[in-house]
Amino acid sequence: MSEKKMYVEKPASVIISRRTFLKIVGIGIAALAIGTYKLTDIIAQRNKYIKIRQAGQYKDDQIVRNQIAPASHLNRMIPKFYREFGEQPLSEITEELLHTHYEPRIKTFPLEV
Amino acid sequence: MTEVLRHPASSRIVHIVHMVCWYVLFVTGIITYFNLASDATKAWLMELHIYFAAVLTFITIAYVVVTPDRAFLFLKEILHWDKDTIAWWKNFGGYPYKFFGKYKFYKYFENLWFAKPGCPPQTKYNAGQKLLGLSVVASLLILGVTGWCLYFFPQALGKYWAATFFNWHVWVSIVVTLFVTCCHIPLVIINWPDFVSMFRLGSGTVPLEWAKHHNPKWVEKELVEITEKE
Amino acid sequence: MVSTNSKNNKYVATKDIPNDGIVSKQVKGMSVTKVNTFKEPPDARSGGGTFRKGELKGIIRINPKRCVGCDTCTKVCPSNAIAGELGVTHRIELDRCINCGQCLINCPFGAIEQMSFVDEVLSKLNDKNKTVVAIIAPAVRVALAEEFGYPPGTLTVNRMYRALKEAGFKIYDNNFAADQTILEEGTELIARIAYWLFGLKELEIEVWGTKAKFNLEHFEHKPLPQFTSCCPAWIRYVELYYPRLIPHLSSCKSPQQMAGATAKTYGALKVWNVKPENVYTVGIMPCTAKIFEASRPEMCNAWKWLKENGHIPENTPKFPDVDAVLTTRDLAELFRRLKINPVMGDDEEVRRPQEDFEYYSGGATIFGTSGGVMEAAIRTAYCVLAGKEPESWDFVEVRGYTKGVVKATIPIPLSSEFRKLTGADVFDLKVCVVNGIKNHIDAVVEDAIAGRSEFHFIEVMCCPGGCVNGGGQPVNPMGTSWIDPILPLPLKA
Repeated sequence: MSEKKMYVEKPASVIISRRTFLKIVGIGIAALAIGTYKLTDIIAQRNKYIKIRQAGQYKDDQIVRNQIAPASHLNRMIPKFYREFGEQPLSEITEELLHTHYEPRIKTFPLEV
Repeated sequence: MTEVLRHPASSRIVHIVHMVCWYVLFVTGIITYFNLASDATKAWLMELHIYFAAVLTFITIAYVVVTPDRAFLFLKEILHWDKDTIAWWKNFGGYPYKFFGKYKFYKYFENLWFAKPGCPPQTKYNAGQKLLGLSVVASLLILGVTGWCLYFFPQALGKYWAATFFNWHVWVSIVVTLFVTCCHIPLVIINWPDFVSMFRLGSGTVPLEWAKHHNPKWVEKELVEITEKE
Repeated sequence: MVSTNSKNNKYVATKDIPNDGIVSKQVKGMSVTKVNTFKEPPDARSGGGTFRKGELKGIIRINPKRCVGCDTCTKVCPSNAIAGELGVTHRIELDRCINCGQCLINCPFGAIEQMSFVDEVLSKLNDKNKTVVAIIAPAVRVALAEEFGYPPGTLTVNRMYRALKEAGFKIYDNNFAADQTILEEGTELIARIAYWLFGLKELEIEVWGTKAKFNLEHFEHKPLPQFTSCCPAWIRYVELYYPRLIPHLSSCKSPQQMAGATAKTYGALKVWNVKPENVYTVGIMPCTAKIFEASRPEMCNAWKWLKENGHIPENTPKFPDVDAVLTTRDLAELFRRLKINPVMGDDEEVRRPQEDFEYYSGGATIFGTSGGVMEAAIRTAYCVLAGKEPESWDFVEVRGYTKGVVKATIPIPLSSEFRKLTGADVFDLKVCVVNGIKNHIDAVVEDAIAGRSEFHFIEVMCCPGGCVNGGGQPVNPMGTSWIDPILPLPLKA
């Protein structure tokens, strides 16, 4: 039986001191934490512009509600329209001008969604 | 001749898988991005791109989870920069002199700051290799995160970040692959014992003399002699 | 090589246009992305596939030079109308496309383009014989300012009216038409409920001090639940994919179309006193599907009615109710070309409507947001059925915000007349709001078709969040339309 000498690295637990280990883990966790925080922030804020625009719409509602009307039938120009032209909702004239009807676009079978 | 185990089997397998995956990803990405093929080919290449990306992601995570000691040693190596590591940059480890010093034209350059011979003692990886290691680790993170975000939920990132992630993904991969192809591969081939230790169908060892010459601080501080019975 | 630098796409906000210095004081968010437009191609109205002759085809198209195949548009398209694998240039399958423009406003590379009619409208503004009427949607007024460097949600009503009048438009606020829509659709809803739930064959409702009689026989063909019909992308979606739902759709036109028809009849004859055939109506919409809707061949009822009643000569060539549609972005472009700044001054708090069609209610303006049509309808229906005003005009439980589907029950205490008719004290109005067609519509529609829907009235808006996030709005680079969670993480907005 022959013997052969060779060199190998010492075990990692010997080479890496506790301090070094914690430094590496610390850097890793910091990178992960900052990255994850930023990414989830980006994703969570993705609809912000929609909400801001909606808030603007409701602000218009508040302004107009007090100065003109809160609901459609209280807009005084609407009864004027019906008095002078439309007669009443679902009248013949509004059926002709303000209503419509729809047809399927594919007559035999609908497209699969 | 005494041998030193430089790359154990686990490291070598991970390296080869990484290497293959990386270049497949790079080539499929470049062809698709720069429109170098037909639509049908690009579609197929991108499918390949995703499969290989999954393999690369898996093997990287597996490396850290299954052999954490190797992963930590590697991270420690590339993060630990001491005086000798910084000093290496003064003349790029003596490589310019080593390659070109024997030519007559070199005398015009020999007074430049990077032209001197000699090299401070290095640890397991020299400063250039440490930089490469950092680049690869950083780019694996960047490419992995941007890539998977773009694959799974580009519709949730917002247009600015989706476009930015895309640009980072493309250009980080190009820059790092250029770095790897132009520096790492030629230098690795020039240092033949290192190349052989990584790719030989046998043990990942280098001769002790070679290790003492190139990586004296590694030999001195981190190696231990064992006796292998055959 | 494809240029993907979104920085190339930014506008310099108020270069060349007068401004009163307020812009520089605003905290500027990221400026909006420029959207490329193209003129109507010669064969755009030739029909074919799922398009009838006369209606516009191909309003949205993908620019192959800018598309990188990232798949974002595919993921947000409600009708799976985008073809192309990952990495390959995508293209829109027009036969499936409902023109909503969600792909356009969500493309990270600005690669999707819109058909634009700014030149036509400008030439009509210059035509002294034409009375050009601007039909302005509610959602335009909360986003127009973004095109001029202001943060989203900046309300621009008085200032926008001034700018439009300076440009030569007459104003027919789409919100006035929305009030008309509520009257028509609210009455239709009450009629359907009276016929189907209480078996009534005729109904008498008192509105504005007069009694209106309704014969309910023809509601045999109009079952519950009633679905709103103001979203043209939704309409085309139903026509293509769920034609069996058509009887459930309200017969009302959208406010835009009501406005067009009213402007050319009542508006021309009674309010403005101009020749109806010289009225040129322009929808100013947050929506690209409205461009399609205006081109629908059946939408020429004003022309028909005017001919039948002798107001225009018999041989007048056919003209549509709405002649052209500009998106919010198009309007900004028009203002830029005319060097008019619609965000000058700071006086939005006091409204001074000057003409009939500038009057609108709070219920009308919230049409621009998901749940707004529903809330407006409830505000009026409550008053009609209860005979009194609700305690609060805010029906927060029906607002969509960023929830995909909202379900609510509104208990309405019935007035004595309705108590006699129905035999009940309270009517529980069960409503549903679908906030964005993608991912949210199928269960609701399938229940309705199968006859097992629990709802009486269902509002559907194709665009998540409502029209404020429509395909014609300024493109804000910092967000997306995706309001659903990202599985497996429950990351809600």
